Amino acid sequence: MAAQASRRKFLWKLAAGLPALAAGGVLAHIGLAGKRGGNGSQFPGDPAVWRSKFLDKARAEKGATAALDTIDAPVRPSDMPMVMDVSRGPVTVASPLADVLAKPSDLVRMQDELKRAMEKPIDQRKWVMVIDLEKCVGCSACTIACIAENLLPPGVVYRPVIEEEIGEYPNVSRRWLPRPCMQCDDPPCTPVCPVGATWKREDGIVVIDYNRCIGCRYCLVACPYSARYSDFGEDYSDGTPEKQPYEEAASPEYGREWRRDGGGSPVGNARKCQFCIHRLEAGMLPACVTTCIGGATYFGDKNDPDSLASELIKSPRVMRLKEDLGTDPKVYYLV
Amino acid sequence: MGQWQANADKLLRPTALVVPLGLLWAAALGAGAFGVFQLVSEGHKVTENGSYIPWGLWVALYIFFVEAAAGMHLASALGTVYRWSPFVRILKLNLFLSFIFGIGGLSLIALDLGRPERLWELYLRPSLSSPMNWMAWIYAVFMLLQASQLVWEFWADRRRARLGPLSPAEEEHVLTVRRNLGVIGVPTAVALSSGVGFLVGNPSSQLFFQVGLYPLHFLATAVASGAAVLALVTSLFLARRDEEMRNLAIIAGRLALAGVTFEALFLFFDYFVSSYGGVPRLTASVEAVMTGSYAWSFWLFQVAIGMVIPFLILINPRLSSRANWIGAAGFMIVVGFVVVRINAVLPAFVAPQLEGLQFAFVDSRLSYDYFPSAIEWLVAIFIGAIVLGLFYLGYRLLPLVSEPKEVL
Repeated sequence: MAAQASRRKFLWKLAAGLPALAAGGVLAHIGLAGKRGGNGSQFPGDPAVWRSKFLDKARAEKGATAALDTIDAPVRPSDMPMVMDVSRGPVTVASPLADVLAKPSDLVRMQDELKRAMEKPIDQRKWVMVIDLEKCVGCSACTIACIAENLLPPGVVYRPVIEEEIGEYPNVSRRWLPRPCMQCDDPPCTPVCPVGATWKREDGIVVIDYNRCIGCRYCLVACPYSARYSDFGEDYSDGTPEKQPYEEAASPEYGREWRRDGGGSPVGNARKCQFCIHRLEAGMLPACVTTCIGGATYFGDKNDPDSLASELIKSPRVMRLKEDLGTDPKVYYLV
Repeated sequence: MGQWQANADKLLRPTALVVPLGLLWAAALGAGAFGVFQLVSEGHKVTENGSYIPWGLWVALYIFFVEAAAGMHLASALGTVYRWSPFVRILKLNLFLSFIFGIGGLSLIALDLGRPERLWELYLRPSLSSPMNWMAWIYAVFMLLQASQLVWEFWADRRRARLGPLSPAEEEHVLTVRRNLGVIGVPTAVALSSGVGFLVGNPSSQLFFQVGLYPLHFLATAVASGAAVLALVTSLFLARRDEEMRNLAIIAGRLALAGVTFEALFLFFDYFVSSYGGVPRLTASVEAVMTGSYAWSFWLFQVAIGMVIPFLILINPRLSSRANWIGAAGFMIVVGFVVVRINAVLPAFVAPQLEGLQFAFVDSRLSYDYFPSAIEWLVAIFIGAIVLGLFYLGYRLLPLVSEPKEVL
C-alpha cells in the first residue's frame, strides 16, 4: 500500500514536472522567441542564472506555480527511483528532479554552441542536424512547429515524419524517420535550376531566392529525397468565408517578410527547409529542434569539434539517407 | 473495297468537313479559353500536380509538340540541304508546321511555370549549369532560325512574283542562303530533340528517367512524330494534287514507320532491362505503366493505336500506298505519341523517393496519384486548337506549298 502510494506520488510529480524537464528548451523558446529579429535572450549570461530567472518568471504566471513548486520541492531518493531524462534516454538517477534540471540540457548547450558559431565568419561554420531515431516518438511536433514557424500553406511541409511499421502482429514495432531537407554538400537540386535561383550557402545551407525562382519545378524532380515543395497558392481557409489572420501574416523565411496574399512569392515557387536561417541569425535553434519533445533532434556546427553535433556524428550508430548517391547529406541519423 | 475507298476519300476531303470541324474547333477554343481564364485568375490551384508529381499533362504535351517540331524541322533539311524535290515543294509548309508546333509547346511550358512573368530571367540571368537553361537558348535559336527561313522563302517568292524569274546568280544566292540556314537547322533540331531527352533523363534521382540513351531515344521519336504529322497533313491536304505529293505522303509514312519501329524496339529494351534490373523502385515505375494505373493508356493508346495498328498499316504494301490509310496511320501515331510522352513523364514519379513518404503528411498535393484536372485538359485543348487554327489559317492564306514548276 505504501509502495503504491509512493509510486503514485512519484508519477504525479513526474507528470507535473515533465513540462519543465525541457526547461532549457522552453527557456530558449520563450526567452528568445519574444524578440525575433532582435539580438537574443531576455536572460543573457550564465545558463544557471537563466534557469533561476525563468523559474521565477514562470512562477509569476498563473497555473505554472504547482508544477514548478513540485520541481523545486525536496524529494527523497526513495520517492524517485528512476527519472526519464528525455534528452538523454533512460538513466537511473538517485537525485531529485531539480538536480537533473541543474545540469545544462542539450538544448542549452546547443544554444551556446549556436551563439559561438554565429560569431564566426559564415564560411567557417558548417551546420549539421543529427536525429536520434531511438528517441523519436513520432509525435510530429517538429512537423507542426515547422509549419507554424514558416507559415507553410497546404501541401508544403518541410519536415514530414515517415512512419514505418516493422514486423507482423504480435511481433510488431514502429519507428519514425523525420525527413527535413538533407542540405546536401553536393546537392543535385541546385545545378539544374535554369536561373540560378537556388544555391548552397557558404555555411552549407541550400537556399532559394523566391524573387528569382520561375517555378519550373525542375529542382523538385532532381531532389532524391523529395525534400522540395511547390507552393500552389492554396490556403487552409480556401472554401471558407474569410482568410484567417495567420494566412495574411508574413513568413519570416530567409530573414525577410514574405506575404502570400495577392499571389506574391513564394506562391508559385519551389520551397524547402532552410534550417530556419531566420532563427539562426536571431541566435535561436531551428524550430524543429526546440520543439522536439523527445529531444531527438540536435543541431550544431560541424566545424566546432566541441559541439554536441560534432560529437554525435562520430557515433558508430550514424547513417545518412541514400549515401550511395554521393550527395553528402548534412542530416545524420542515429539508428 | 473500291466503293469504300471512294467513300473514305469523300469523308476525308477537307472541304466536306469544314463546317462541322469548324464548329468543333470553335467549341474547343471557347472551352479552352475558359480553362486559360481559370488558370490566369486562380493560378496553379486549378492543376492536379503536386510536389511529388511535379510535372503532368502540360509537360508531356510540351515534349510532344517540341519533339514533333524538331522532327519536322529535320525533315525540312531533306529540302533545304539535300534539295529533294517533294520536300522542297513543301518546305514552307514544313517550316510553318514546325514553327507553330514550337509555339504550341513553348506556350504550354510557359503556362506550366509557377511564375511565368519571370521567363526573362532565363536569358537575363542564365545559369549555364542547367540543361533547362540550355534548352531555353536552343528554343530561342530554333524559333528565330525557322522564322528567318520562312521570311527568306517568302521574300524570295515575293521577289519572283514582282520581278519575274530571278537571274541565275540571284537564284543561286537564294539557294545558298536556304542551304546555309538548313545546315544550321539540322544540329539545332538535333540539339533540341535530344536536349529535351537529356533534360528529362538527367536527374539521377529519377531512376525511371535515368536511361543513358534517352537523348537518342528522343531524337528518334522526334523523327517519328514529326514524320507522322507530315504524313497526316500531306495525305489529307496534298496527296490529291499530283503524283509527287502522293509519293510524298508515302515517303512520310515510311519515315513514320521507321520511327515507330525504332520507338517500339527502344521501349521494349528499356522496359525489359528496367524490369529485370530488380531495383524495386524502378520496377514499380515500369509495372505502373504496364499493369498499374497507367496500363489502359499504355496498351490501348501507346501500343495498340500508336504502334501496332499503324505499323500493320504501313508495312502492308497495298495500304501504305494509299493516302487515306497513310493519313489514318499518321493520325494514330500522333495520338499514340501524345500518350508516349505522358507515359514517359508520369510513371517516373509513381514510386516514392522514400518509402512511406506518401503517408507521412496527408495532403492532395503530397500524393503519388495524378490525373489531370478538367482545367488542365481545357488548357491543353486550347493550345491544341490554337495550333490547329494557325495551321488552317496558314494553309489557306499563305502560299505554303509550291507548284512543281516553281521548285528549285
